[in-house]
Amino acid sequence: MIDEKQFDELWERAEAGRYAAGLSAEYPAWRTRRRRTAGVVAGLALVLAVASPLMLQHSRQDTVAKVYSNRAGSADQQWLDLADGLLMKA
Amino acid sequence: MRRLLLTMLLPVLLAVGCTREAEHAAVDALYARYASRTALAAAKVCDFSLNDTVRVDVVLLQAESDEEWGRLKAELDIQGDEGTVSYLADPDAPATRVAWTGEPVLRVVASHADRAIGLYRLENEEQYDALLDYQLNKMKNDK
Repeated sequence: MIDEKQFDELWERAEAGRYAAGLSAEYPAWRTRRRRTAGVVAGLALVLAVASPLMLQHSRQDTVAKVYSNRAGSADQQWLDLADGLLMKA
Repeated sequence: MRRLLLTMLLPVLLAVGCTREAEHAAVDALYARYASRTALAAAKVCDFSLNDTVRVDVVLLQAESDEEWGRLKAELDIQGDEGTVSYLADPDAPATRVAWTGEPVLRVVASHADRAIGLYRLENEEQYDALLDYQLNKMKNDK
């Protein structure tokens, strides 16, 4: 015969065993989810790391007019002034 | 999931980069027609700013002699000897006058005094309107 105290101890052990069994059954699925999430986050970080400098460079280039001329040494501002001046005269 | 995200993001990034490149390429071809002429100073201006968000590409031509100016005027069928001439043209044939239909056009502006011609490539209505606003705002500010 076991007394009440021993019964409680055995009961707690049984409860702990059930929790452990439940957790061990869930663990592979949880680990797979965690790895997948980590993979997605790493993929996004990689894409952003590559794309951000490209997009920044692209937007920076877009804000500044680029002038190419067949006259070496001609000042870019001279051509920009002409582009502006012609519109003012039109 | 990761592959799906990459597959979706990369075309978007490439498309953003390529849209303006196509516009620049159209102006490159126009500039190349004139760049080799010895008596003609030519320039292409990529991303000439009309306002905070709208930019256009421009080809500028400036004749360095009266003979070259005469040739250029004849090629583009520009009449007269004074003032400024302005018209919309076919982007592939700057001498051909066209009406605005929403399709890409060239806004051609010729100044006899400067012996210069500007070919402003307008791809869409936003650029067309921005060019008009630019002229109006500048005129108001100059008053």
